[in-house]
Amino acid sequence: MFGDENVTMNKQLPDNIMAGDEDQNGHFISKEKAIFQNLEYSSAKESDSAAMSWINSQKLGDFVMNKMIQGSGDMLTVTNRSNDKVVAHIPTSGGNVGEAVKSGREAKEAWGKMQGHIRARHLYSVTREVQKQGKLLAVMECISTGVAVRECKNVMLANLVQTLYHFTGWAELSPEVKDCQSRGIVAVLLPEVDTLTQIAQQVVPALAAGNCVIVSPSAPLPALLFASLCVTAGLPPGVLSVVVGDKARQALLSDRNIAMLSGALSTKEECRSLVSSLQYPIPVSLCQVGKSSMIVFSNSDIDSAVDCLADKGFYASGQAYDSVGKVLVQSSCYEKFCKRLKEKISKLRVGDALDHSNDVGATTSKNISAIKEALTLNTHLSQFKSSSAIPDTGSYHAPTVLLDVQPSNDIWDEVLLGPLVKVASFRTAKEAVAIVNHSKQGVGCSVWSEKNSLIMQLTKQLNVGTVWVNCHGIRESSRPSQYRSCTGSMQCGGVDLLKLYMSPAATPRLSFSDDKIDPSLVKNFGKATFPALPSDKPTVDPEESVNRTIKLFIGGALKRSANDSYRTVLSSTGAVLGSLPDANKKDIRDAVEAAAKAFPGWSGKSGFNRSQILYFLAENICRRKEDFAEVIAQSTGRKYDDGMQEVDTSLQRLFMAAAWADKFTSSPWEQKDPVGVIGITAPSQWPMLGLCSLLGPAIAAGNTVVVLPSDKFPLVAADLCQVIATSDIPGGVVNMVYGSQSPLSLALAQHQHVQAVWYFGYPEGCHVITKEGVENNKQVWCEEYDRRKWNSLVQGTGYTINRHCYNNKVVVMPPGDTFAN
Amino acid sequence: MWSSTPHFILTDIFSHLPIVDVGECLIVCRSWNSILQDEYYWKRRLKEDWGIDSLRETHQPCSWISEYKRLHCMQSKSVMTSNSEFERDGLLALTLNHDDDEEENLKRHLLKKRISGNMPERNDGTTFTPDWIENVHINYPAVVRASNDFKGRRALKKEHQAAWLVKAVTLIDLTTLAGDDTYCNVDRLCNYAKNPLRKEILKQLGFDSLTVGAVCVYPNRVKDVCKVLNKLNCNIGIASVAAGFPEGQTPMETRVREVELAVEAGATEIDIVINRTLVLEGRWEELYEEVKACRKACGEAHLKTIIATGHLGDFENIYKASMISMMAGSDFIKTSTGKESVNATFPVAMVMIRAIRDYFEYTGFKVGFKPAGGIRTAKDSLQWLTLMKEELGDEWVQPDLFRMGASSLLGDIERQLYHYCTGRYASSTFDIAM
Repeated sequence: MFGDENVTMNKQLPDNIMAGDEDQNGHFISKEKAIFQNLEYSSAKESDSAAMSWINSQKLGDFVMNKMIQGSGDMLTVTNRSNDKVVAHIPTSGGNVGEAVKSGREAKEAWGKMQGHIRARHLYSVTREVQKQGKLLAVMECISTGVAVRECKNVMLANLVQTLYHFTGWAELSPEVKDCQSRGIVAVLLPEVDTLTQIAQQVVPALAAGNCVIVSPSAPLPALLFASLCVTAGLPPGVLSVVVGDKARQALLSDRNIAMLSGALSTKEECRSLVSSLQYPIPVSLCQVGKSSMIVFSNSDIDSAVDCLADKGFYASGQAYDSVGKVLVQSSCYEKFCKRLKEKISKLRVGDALDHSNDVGATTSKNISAIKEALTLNTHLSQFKSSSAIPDTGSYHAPTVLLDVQPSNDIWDEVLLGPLVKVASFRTAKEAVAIVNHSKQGVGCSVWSEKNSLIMQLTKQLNVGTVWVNCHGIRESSRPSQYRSCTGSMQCGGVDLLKLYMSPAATPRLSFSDDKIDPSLVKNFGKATFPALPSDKPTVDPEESVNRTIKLFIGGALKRSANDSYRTVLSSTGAVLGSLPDANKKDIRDAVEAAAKAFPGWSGKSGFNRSQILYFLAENICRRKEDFAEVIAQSTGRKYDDGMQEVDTSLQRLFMAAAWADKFTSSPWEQKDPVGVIGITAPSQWPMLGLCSLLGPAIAAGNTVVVLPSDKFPLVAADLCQVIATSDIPGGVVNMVYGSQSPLSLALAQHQHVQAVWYFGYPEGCHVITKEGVENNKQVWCEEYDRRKWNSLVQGTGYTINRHCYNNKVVVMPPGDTFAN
Repeated sequence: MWSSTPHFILTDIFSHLPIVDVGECLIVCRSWNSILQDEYYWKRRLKEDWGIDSLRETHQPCSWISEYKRLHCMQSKSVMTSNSEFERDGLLALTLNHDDDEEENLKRHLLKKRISGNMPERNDGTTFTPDWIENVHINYPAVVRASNDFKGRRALKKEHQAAWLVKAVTLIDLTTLAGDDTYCNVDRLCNYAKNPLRKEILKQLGFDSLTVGAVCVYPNRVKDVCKVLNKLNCNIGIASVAAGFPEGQTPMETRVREVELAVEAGATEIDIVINRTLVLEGRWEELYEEVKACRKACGEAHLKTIIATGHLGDFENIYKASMISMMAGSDFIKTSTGKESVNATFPVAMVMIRAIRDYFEYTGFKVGFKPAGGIRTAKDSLQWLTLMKEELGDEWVQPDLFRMGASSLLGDIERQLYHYCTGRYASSTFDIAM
């Protein structure tokens, strides 16, 4: 406290005193004294001089063969989003893609076959270089994306380093993943914001898996710097290339040497157009950037929930997976929550992203206009935002909270990237789960409650990749989380992420062809239908047997097809074996409905229970194995013994599925949730084995399936249905629809309630199905039918099949309550 | 002429007068006095002068005029400190003459002002309200994470750092609590408290003089402090720990008596410890009664209640103990005695700050916060100040609502300021030897 004379004086000074003024006694006020009175903060601007001199020292261009190559062509102007200043011009000819691919082809053999330990040394070296230049990398991310430098440094960079260490470890441990091998050249597409995180989640595991990587970034600077750090670290030429610009991206997609496409993109339209422009049927793992949700119960630590929302909700200016889009608050604490949130949000500081004392940085102008539009359409809703002043230059939007948004409002489910949080109330836990699960995106959700039984139930029920309990946005690269709004599966950690960039061992180029897809075949895929005409030969000898009418197997019952027409099935010798219904789209609809209806019950059963049923199925098939062997022999023209062997191997597959059934999920913190309804287009060459190898694991994991059996040899499936119907498998868990596979598989891919499609068929089919999958975020697994040897133990069982049967879910629940004594 | 003037015209005239003159009018004659008892007049006056259009919800009935008087009393600091001015203020005089209850309040108020400077309205406490400690949910990891994230979020560099450090000096309760304390080192401490920063540094920063918040000692040393401070003609707070400090494991009678004796000896602020047994056994109402008894024993001296967070086992107990202490009328809640294994930490502070915020929401009373133990560096002190500003606002970065209990902190702050002023790092002998 001051001495007497000062107390009076200080009290009489106005609040807004300025340094250099005089007080009423004529005393000069020093700047320190002014701050002493008004308690203002200073700024703490991170220097960008190192980053700028790096930019200026480089002839920026495409990064190929470990050096920058400038091409001719349009210049991409890179501006600092925080102040709209131009920082660089990068030529984007797209002409260096060929070079990049060539260097990748040359490097991939040595890199892919490299001894794990040596590859680990390389990655360790990269890790160390990234750590040494961490600040530069973070500032580069900050400049080019506008994300607050604190987050670039403390979250993104930290995550990148941790991920690098994690996958360096996996490179060392490559004997542990010997069931898989590298794919070759992987194309990686990076989004506009959160680049470092996406480098960590895509480039790093792809490299560790032994692939060469060609990166097509939307914000090129951080990717170029990362690549040049890899050179400093001694990464061999060709292992990592960066190509800049849209033309380069297009050229990349039409190159036949690309073995896999992986990417996170800002909009669905981008995903859609990319997949359409793919020229070869390659595995695709594309994910639209989405936002997470938050559920706050009244029995929670509400103040902490508010603190966390104000911090993590606007992570990366609300433009990344871990930022919060939707908040559900229980109505009994809704008012309290909103009041606290308002106080908290008003104190957030928006401004220059390079300033450490700002909470929220810049936002892309595209995202700002989307937010503004959404806000204009919803002026009737109450909202509040931070009271911080918005800088004059640069593209900023104040962190905004929109209250009382109803799920029926269009913006509720719209992914609005940018600093906007939508808040709604709910009454019960069941209601909250329903609202979150009725969402197009299942990235992550945090649950705020102090009630353990409620939390445990919710971690099971929420259909999201990460459930955070009383926290939000905590990532660990070792934990197998998964974004659930994806085509393919967008893994985010652990060995599953590594294996995403690998294919099953001993099957080179498993799932893609050397040939370009014929556009006319793509166009007509699933359209050509051949009318089912009656056979001109007798289908049955009534004196020897009874005329048999095979029906569709839907919802546990044999159903007549809606099409009401039949197709004759011939043996390999041309003899008539029988006739099968020729199903259409309506039958698919019925089958999917039946499967969807059966899903909650079946997935809710314990793994132990499902395994018992599968063993029982195998038992019943075994009792009729001669029948099956004979049907296989007759249909395919193979020998009876051969057929018998297929039946035996099929039994083994079912046993293996039963064995897995209670081993998928091992802990409440790392769950493997069934995907949902899976549409399976079975491979045609192994009528029983192919089907059992897929069907078994799918239902063992708790999925329900709609199967399109081989249309060449469908009779085995028809017999199988009879056994399934009598093996305690609940109705609707397995549904079989006979008919021409192509149109039916298209119908399956187009059905919105099918969560995943597995397609084994034509290359153009792979392409079309992948494209359709993007439309409603299906998980797509396409392979050409004759690539996999189903009778091989390595290719017909194990991880490469099982991984499609479940979605990883990670539950993050930080422990702790005791304190001091 | 005046008697024939219509009342509404008089009311109108009164409403244009400065409030001191209105006070004079009140004691002119019976008729003016009765005109000026009009509640509508005071309601309007409150709105115009204070921007207040609703009455506080207190457990005592409140009228517009009495509310105005209360606020006026609080504001009139000059009146408080000089008797001659006081007699000139008719409104206050009237307050004394006409309202026994208010008179009692005012006397207490004046005394308080005289002994501790610019304290705001005291926390009167409330009745024991168990609702406020029910359904308390505090998630330990979330609070720890939030408090870690908080650090480094607001920057204080260069002149900002210097200014905030000076602010920190004024918020220190300079403490010595040792078995070997004597008049000699207490004398030294008091002198240091009056001149915590060297004149040359102060001058360069543009300050005349300043003192720390208070000096804090054991009850036996209070007399020494009074003696020295009187000699120095310095009226900073004299804080004494009491009530069985540090463990509180002594009979209630002796604890209360200790408080009384410390106040009699001249302490203006009393730092009591709570009975941790009652917290750990969930006997909240007994805790309330004990703290209330201490508050009563304090009289006009301010009560700082140490909840000894390191002994309470979990955050929910910390919140509840804070809330109970405020209900019982504590002017400050304080983290620790400095003798527990865990002292003032950020997560603990966040929990106590929440309790202060909630209590303010329930009652309108502002309660101060005092972290103590383990605050040693200038950097630490700045983080504490920013925490207060962010969580509770600027008001809680002033000596009447925020103190830091520390002994070695001041030395480090002065070293940092020396560096700021001279560009040179101070040597270890720069510190004033204590």
